[in-house]
Amino acid sequence: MADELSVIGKPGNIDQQAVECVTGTIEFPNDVYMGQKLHAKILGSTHAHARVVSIDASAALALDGVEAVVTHEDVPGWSDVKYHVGDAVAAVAARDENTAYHALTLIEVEYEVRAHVVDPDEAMQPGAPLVGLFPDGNTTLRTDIVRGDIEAGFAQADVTIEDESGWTNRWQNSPIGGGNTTAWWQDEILHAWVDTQNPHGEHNGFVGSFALPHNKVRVFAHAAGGGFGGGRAAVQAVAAALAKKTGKVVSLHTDKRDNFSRGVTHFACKSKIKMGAKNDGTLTAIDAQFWGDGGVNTRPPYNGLPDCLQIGIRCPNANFKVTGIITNAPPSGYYRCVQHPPGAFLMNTALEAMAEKLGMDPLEFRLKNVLTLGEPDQDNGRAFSFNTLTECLQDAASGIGYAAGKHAPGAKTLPDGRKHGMAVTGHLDGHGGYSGTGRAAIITLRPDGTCFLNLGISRSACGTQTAHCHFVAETLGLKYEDVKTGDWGATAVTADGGMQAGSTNTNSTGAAFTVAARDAREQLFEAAAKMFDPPVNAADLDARDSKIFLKSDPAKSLTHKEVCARNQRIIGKARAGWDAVLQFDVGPWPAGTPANQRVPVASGAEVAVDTESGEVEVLKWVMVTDIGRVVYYDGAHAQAWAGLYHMFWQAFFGEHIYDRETGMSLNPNFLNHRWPASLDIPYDALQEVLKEGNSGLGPYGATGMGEPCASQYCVIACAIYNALGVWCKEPPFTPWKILKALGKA
Amino acid sequence: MNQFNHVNASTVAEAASLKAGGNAALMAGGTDLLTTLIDYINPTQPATVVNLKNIPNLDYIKEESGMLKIGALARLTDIADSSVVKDKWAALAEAAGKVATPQIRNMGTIAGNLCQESRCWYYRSANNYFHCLRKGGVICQAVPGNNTYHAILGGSGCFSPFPSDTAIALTALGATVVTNKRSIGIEDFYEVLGNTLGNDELVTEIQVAAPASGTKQVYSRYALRKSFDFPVSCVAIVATMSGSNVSDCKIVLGGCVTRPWRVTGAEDALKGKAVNEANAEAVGTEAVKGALALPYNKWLIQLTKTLVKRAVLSLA
Repeated sequence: MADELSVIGKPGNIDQQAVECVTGTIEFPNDVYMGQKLHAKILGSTHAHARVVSIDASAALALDGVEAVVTHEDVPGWSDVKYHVGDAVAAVAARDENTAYHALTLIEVEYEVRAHVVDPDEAMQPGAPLVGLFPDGNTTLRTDIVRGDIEAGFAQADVTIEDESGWTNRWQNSPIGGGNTTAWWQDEILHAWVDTQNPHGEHNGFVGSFALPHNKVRVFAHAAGGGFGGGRAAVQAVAAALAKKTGKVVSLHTDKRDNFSRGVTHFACKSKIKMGAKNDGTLTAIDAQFWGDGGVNTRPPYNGLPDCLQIGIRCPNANFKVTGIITNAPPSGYYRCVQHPPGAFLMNTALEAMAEKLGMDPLEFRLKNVLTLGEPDQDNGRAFSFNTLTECLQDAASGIGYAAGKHAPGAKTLPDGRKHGMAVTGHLDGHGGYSGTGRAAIITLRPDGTCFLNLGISRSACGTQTAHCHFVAETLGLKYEDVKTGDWGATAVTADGGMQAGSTNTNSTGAAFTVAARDAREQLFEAAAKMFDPPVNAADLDARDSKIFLKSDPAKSLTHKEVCARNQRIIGKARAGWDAVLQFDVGPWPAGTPANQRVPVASGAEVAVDTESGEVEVLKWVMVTDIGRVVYYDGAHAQAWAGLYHMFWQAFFGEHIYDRETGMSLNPNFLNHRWPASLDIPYDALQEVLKEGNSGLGPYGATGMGEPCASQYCVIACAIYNALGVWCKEPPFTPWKILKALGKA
Repeated sequence: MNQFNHVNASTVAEAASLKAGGNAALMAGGTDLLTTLIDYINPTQPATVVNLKNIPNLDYIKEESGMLKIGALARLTDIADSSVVKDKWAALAEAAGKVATPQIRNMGTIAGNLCQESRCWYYRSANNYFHCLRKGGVICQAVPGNNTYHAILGGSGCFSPFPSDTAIALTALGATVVTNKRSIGIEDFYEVLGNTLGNDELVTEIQVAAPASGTKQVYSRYALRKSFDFPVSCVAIVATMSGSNVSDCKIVLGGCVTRPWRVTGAEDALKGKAVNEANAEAVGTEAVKGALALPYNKWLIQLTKTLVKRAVLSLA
């Protein structure tokens, strides 16, 4: 089938934003120039839990260049109670950034300090201080999956293990932007230039915050520099409030400290897993408890974690329970996936422990227990559209030479004295599918036969917009270079393309653009059919390489330009969503099949561990992801590379550290948060492999991939265990943690 | 950061006078100072920033009568690349080349590197959030708090880690710090809470005598991030060899110490000994003998012991 495609999956098509990015001409929200503008900065709470009694901004307002100060009395959504250090208390608009920063130091805030709790273990204890968001405790929710008969399952087991982890790390995504906004009110119409992941969502937010009619808000999505889940900072209203108060253009430029103190982090979690299996390796029961620290987020994003813990593992008797905890720490949220990185970590380390107790090779044990093609979802009975997890695990194993190199935990020492370890892990990832929200798309064919995509989505530069251009070009039979993105997320003139999150954009918005392209194609072929001499039936036409031709005689053709020059009103439009899923034939599944999509992903890793210094070197890390269909070739491989980079960071560096006494972040910067620089990445040791099962539910069998390919740092934990024969279950796996696991710290 | 007056000092005396006048900060490369101002880490902000870069003839690197003389404004890049320094004072060149990033080494100076402020994450917290002992407060918040990267040696009230790479190499090399007021051995230049510069004093030169022939030098560090980071632990060894044995040596620890920390017990354990696995292990053990672990930093004892052991082995 791949050979039939002329655009999709072909190397060399460049990203729609590439030239702007590499030439530095891409515009961020703060680059918007409208003559003189004011600069805004936000003052954060110095207490982890307090009520603001009074704010004296007179000294700040007296500072030369300061034009306005806003507080909870002005900014929609702000409360007088602050729930974490850094929670926004006030904001200043001044003629330049330094004056705004200086003004923040002059604002006097009187607080009524309340008891707080930052440690999630402490927060769960009876009598712990209340975070303040719930009246009678710090536990937010419980989510359960109960399947089969857990007691009977353990009764059938020959072997049981009880596996426990420490708290996983909180990661801060800290994108380049993260709430940057320029706002201006003109004739009571709010104009806002934002770097969001969801421009129409921000539009709706402004409508709600300022009680405006929808047609009195205009949002423009500008460059976000990535999002990773942090592109929804919820501070845009500050710029709008200051712009309203001053009557001037106000630009809020969040700095890294803002990102770290107010931006969302990934949640921390820990687990206790009891597992039972027969001597032949068949799993009979899993009883898993999970705790998540959501910070002050009352709607933490980990309620799907039980599903992520068990997904892809066949076990008839299971009990998965999650307990959410709130603490007086910044809100947890999304970080390039939500539940899968910790879910895969917690489950895969437990599987590794069970394999050892059974005396089985861990890969063999996994292959025996993962769901295979044709098996339905264990809880809802729905078929998976495709499942190549078995093949992904085998490919990952081959990639690191697992069969020849495997050994018992702690059994191999390298000539230089370091311990050698290998592991293969995998999971079926729940992301990369469809968003349930409707997504709309409009495309316009121009008189010269070229095409514009009217994009109601963000400018998070992750390539999905370029994938949409591939769908449109392929469907219309246009050359890739004849398709361009038009307006980006300008809400007054674009259709709502949905939120760019959950790795759904390729599929969900892509489906909308593909449906829109089909709509335009019908119009195009109807018009072209009449232009052939003699006229032909539209159904007899096909298109490729910007030519429309007779299927029966491809030499008889017209160019898109010839057709569009005489038919200048071809506009394709679509509103897609769940309905659109059913419009595509995907692999073995005919259109209309209520299939379930998961993205299979596996990793193989080989490490060397220095037991005297605690340092870990990655000798090889191969990640295999089946994304259904490679659409934008270079972008897909870049995503997979970036996934390896993120996982490397999660495994060895990523950790947001708070002072337990005060709740203050101790590493709110890139120096101490330690994102690896390019020199820290062992590029020669890393390898990404993309498979094409061709059966994703998206257009042309595609799936999303951003999060699935960033959720396998668990393989490093298992490889370290294989090297040492002792577990280190508190990521990141720094020398401190390794030496601690070895009893040397 | 706040507005400040920017004054270009043209002489050392003028800079010293401006500093003595109070409420002024000296700036050479600015790579440390500007970050302290941007983050408001100190209780007060300087009204005046005195630019030292216009003071002429203070950026030299030269050898005079066997003595290495480095002007206070010599850039770290130039020290790391200097053939003079690499030839006889290799540990210093190595240490200078390990500081931060190429961009920062292109701006940062040797005196700035020696006089930089603490990198303790409590001390550096924005808006002077933790008014700690080092800033005139009453406690070191790292003691009850998160002290994963704090000092295991030299702590006394304050347990701030020591950030300078070059100071460790210079201490092992027996350097002298010359100021506009005095010459002082680098071992006496630092106290637990910082350097000993007076209100009207600034560093003008670093002097290092030539090591005896047959001397071997090592500077070795561990940092979490290899591309650029402050050292979590580091060691400099300057050893005089007699055949395959070490006849004399200086061993100085950095990173997880409050100031350059000479470990004379480890030096004694190495003197007169051959460089081999067993002796290196003994030196490493001796180097951390007096270490005092806080709740989270016991790992630094093992790490430092390993670092010293391997540095000794590299003398072979």
